[in-house]
Parts: sequence; C-alpha cells; structure tokens
Amino acid sequence: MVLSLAMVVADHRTTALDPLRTALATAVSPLIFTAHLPYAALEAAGHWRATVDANRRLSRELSRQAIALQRLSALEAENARLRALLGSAERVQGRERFAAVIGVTPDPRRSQLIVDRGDGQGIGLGDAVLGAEGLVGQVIETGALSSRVLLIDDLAHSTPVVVLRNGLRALAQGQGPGVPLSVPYLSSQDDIRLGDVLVTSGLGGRFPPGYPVARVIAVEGSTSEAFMNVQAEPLAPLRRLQDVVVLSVAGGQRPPWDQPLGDAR
Amino acid sequence: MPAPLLAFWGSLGVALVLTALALPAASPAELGWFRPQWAVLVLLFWVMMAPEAVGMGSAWLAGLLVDSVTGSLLGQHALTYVFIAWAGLSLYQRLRMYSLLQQALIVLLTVLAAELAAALMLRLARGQALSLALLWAPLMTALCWPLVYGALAPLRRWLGPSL
Repeated sequence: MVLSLAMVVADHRTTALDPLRTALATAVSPLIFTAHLPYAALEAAGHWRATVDANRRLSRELSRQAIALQRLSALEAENARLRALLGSAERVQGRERFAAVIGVTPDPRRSQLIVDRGDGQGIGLGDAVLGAEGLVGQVIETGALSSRVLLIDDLAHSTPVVVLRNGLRALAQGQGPGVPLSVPYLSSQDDIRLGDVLVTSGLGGRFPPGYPVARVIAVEGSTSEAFMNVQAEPLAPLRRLQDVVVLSVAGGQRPPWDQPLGDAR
Repeated sequence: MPAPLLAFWGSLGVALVLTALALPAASPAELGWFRPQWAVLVLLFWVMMAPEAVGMGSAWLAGLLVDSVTGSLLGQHALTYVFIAWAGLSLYQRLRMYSLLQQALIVLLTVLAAELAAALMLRLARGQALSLALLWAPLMTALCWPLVYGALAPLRRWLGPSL
C-alpha cells in the first residue's frame, strides 16, 4: 500500500515512472488490440476488404491534404497582417505518421484515446495529434505498439491559441468529455466574436503554430465583470475519430522549459 | 505456477479486455459511469476461492495492469486492489458460506470504499470534483457478481475440489 501511494505521488509529480508506464503499456497492448477486434470485425464485415483499404488510403490522403490546407490558410492570415512575428520563430520540422484509433479510456471523467502506433514507430511523449478538421490532443504515454493521447477537451488539458482573425492570444481549457472548451481571462474589451476560429499559437512549444483548434460558440459577459465567459467547440470530432496524424518533433527533443506530463494523468 | 494462480491471470486477462472494450461511438458518454469493474470481481472470486495462491501481491500487480489499461495514475488501482484483496482475505471463510446475494452486498461495500478512497486521492492530486455518479460503478459491479461467479465457478470445480 505504501509502495502504491509512493508510486501515485511519483507518477503525478515526476517523470521517473515513464519507463514503467512504457513497459506496462506494452504489456497490456495485446489486450487493447483484442478489445478493438469487435469493432475492427464490424468494419471489415460491412465492406469488401479492398474497398476498405482503398477508402482508408484515400481518406488518409484527403486528411493529409486537408491538414496542409489548414496550415496554408493560417499562413495566409499571418501574411495578410504583415507580421513577421510567427515567421521569425523557427518552424517546427516534424514527421507525420498516420495512426488508427484502437481504444478510448473507460473512465467517463477522462478524455483519452489509444492509437495503434508507439515508440517502436518513432512516436514520443508530447507529440501533437491532429485530425483532418483540427487539433486532437497530445501523446502522454507510449508503449512499444500503442500510445495514449490526451484530448484537448480533457480537464487536464489547456491549449495555447490565437484568434485567427486578429491574433488575440488566449487559452483553450478542456472542461471534460463532451463539454465545450473554456476560453478564460478575456475581458469585455477583447475582440472575440461568435464564430471566431482559434488556432494553435505555438507558445509553450508543445504544438506547432497555425493548426485550427476550436470555434467560438458563446461569448457572454458585461462590462461590470472582470472576465467574459467564452466557450469554444473543438473542430475535430473528438468522439468519432478513426484515423489521426501524429506529428513528431524532429529528433524527439523537447524545449528545456517543457513540463513533465504527470499533471495530465 | 499453481493452477489457481494461472486461472486468476487468465480470467484477469478477459476482465481487462472487457475493461478496455470501447463503448459504441453512438452511445451517450454517461454510459461510462455504469461500467462494472470486472477486474475487481475476478480478483475477489479468486481471493475467496484460493486465498493461499492469490493474495495481496497478485492484487497489486493486477491493479498496476488496470492502471495501464485505464490510463490512470500508476498505483491508483494497485492501492485499492490491495485493500480489496485484504478485505477478501480476512473475510474469505465467511464469504464462502454466504449466499450470492450476501456476497454481492460485500462486493458493493468493498468496491464502494475503494472507489471513495480513489476519488479522494484524485481530488487531492488533481482537484477533480467528486460526483454522485461515482456510486453507479460499485452498484453495477455488485450486480455483475452472480454473472462472474457463474462463469468462474465451473473453472474452479474443474481445477479440483481441493481448493
């Protein structure tokens, strides 16, 4: 019992247990693949095998294009504002890897996915995970064959964002599965409107800048209150994801100020 | 490895697959609150039937695997499972005499205590709010006890009457 308590504290506060997490994740990944079998079988039963393969290849190609396009539109917005600010920061050079979603966390309070690529395929802790529609989350645990992804609507997740229209910096905090993101600390003087698209700012170094995150669906508050209540809906369909892209930072090195991931668990 | 221990790890594997099984994407998210803790049931069954083979050590390791499957803090389930195994070990002689209903009641109480301890721990660690919906999982777990008992009892009989 004492050992368990010590582990809980250690896992929450430090990265010391990461190798153990990796080993355990590798050990249980056959079970997770087994649990995914019924869904995989359902998918295979509905279509001809070849059609499924072609479909998957094409939809992956499509999401690759969509992601490239998202990035372009963000770049255009930047250029239009004639600001060399983001351009001057070095762009993250990463590798894109496709991964299929093979599991979700059974805990209704958490918002996590398991994907079928692990550190054996070059995926590292903290890698950004993207969908065709927008940012999905980040990798918080890797096994040899699978990894665990923390989604942007988890209580433990905050995403540094900017408003695409005017470059206003903000945070998009997860409020739990199925609940819109909260955008705190904006006063009524700040220019944010319904329908504004929030994209990653790249601050914090975890996510590359310019990827769409969420759309503002509620802006409430009066001048008498210090902060407005702003809510935003994630653009990626977090409950219906099947394929995602994991963006690995080259060399797997993280900025020195990067925090351990314990708080996310 | 003694046969009951093998049987324990085998049935625990099945329980872990059931734990990891995703709900259909179309189902409401609230359904997640009603998921029984299959691993606890398997653990309690084998602690009760083979206390000399399956003890707190096995419970701790099983809890660690559950931690990995559910993505919780490492040690969270290990801690509660050691407690549950301890309760099972101290009660196993009485548990064997009880009817299924009485056993299910004991399951309800132990899982409830374990769940509350875990929730308290998460509140301290993460500031996660306590929710009354927490009470559904122990209830479902207790309701599933006859099911697990019915599935594992033939396996135990097959292993031999000596247990």
